[in-house]
Amino acid sequence: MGMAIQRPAQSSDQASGDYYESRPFTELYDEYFDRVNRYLRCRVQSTWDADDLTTVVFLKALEKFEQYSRTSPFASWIFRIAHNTYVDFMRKNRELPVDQEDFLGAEPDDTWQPERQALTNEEIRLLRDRLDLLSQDQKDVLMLRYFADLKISQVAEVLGKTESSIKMISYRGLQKLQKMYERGDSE
Amino acid sequence: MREEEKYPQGHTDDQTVAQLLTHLKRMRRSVPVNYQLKADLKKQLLERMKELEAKKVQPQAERPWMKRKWVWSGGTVLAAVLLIGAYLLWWGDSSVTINKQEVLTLPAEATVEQVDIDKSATQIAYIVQSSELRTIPIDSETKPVTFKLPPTKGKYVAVAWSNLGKQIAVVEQVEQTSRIWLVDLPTTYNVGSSRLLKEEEGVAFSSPSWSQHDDSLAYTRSKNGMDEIWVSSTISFQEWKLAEGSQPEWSPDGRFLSLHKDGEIAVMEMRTGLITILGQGQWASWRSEHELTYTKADGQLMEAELGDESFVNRELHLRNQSAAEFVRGNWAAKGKQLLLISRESQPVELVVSLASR
Repeated sequence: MGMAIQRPAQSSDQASGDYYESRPFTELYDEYFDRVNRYLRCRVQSTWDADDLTTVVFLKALEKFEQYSRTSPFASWIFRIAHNTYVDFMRKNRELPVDQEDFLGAEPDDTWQPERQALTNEEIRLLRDRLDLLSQDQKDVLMLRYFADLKISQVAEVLGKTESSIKMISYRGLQKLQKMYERGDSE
Repeated sequence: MREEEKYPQGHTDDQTVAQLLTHLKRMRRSVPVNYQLKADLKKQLLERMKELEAKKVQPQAERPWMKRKWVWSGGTVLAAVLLIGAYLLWWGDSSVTINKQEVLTLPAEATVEQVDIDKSATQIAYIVQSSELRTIPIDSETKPVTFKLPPTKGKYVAVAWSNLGKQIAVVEQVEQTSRIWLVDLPTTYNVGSSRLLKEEEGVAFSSPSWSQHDDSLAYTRSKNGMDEIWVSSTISFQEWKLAEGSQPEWSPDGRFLSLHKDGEIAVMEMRTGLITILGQGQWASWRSEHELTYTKADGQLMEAELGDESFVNRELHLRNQSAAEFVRGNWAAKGKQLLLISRESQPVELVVSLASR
């Protein structure tokens, strides 16, 4: 893993008050795979596509890892790659029909628990339908904020917007989503 | 609630927002993670990291003996230069030698547009069974690739490598609908992908050709027996009609575009729109910024050299040519390699060979 350790390693991410990410690529991969995979599985209808995109994200990340400054959070960096990969995928595939049966969670895997998953699959589908009714910005912000579990500052960095605009978009998106739940939209 | 979530305070009911946030959190946790992929991908990444490290070490290790290698190989190089000089004098400048016969054979129904060579002459791409795009390497460093094209009820009729060799344009024809797809071939870092550039009903697209920087694609648009050359931007998707004719081919510097009209090969200067007719023939291919070849109806390969105000046409002889009828030649490696596509009659098939000059 020599290539991942290009700078003197520090034990803390917050050495001397400044952010510094000292961990090698493999450790970061172990930590962030789940979040990236979940995020893409939420955003893309087909789990196959989501998993392919997850692969692309980490291969790209490895290729560009030396460009990662380490002085900003790895979460912002990896999710910027993930978000751009997702946007690129949607742009390229906008003409292709989506297989409706291949929705999120339909594919069994190691974590699949039929009795619990059946209910949540429906809830996730409902949530995605409702998120689809939001503006693109609101959808991006809420997905990155609540499904990628990023901080407001990190969402701002990923989307290239100010924190205050992210807060406003997030607030309006949540309000809209809340009203949809109250009215039972798209059910 | 975290600091950043306090923003809406006073505008909405905190309790219901909190419930919504709890719901979203629960939803996030319930999305399954593909742990099998996590393990498999980690292995793949570790292997790639080893490769990258090996690549970093290799150039340094090579240096000590490289100097010695240069010294003793000097004589060899000199001898090679003399041999090449003699070779050029012997064969002259008006011949092309076929050095790899039958690199590939395609079934009788295949067309000359279904195969192309990349500009650096490292690989050949072709359509298989109207559903797959395959590459075969010419050099030892390139690996063969198979890419599944978007499913079709029709067939894929044409391929064209981009100048940078990263993309291939493919043309799909389904009954009355024609589509142009741009394919990113899979690499070590990327899975392959395809995106639709253009779709139109009632027309047939063919003979795509990439512009100098791969930012535009020229192609033939045939409708009701009329052939037109159109250009689509691969970036902005803008499109415009360029001329009447077919088989567009951009010169390497983008200054000229050759085309086929009324059985003749013509060259259009892009800046002025001025068209010069070179002669009877088809399937032009640029060898350099000012030289192109094309095929006459009898299978004779012709070469045209463009001057400032005139051009010179001459026959180009194919050495070691088989009995197959030569149809199309595509230049690569800056005019050093030529992909030859010929039609064999016994058995009926399309034969692809490689020649050099």
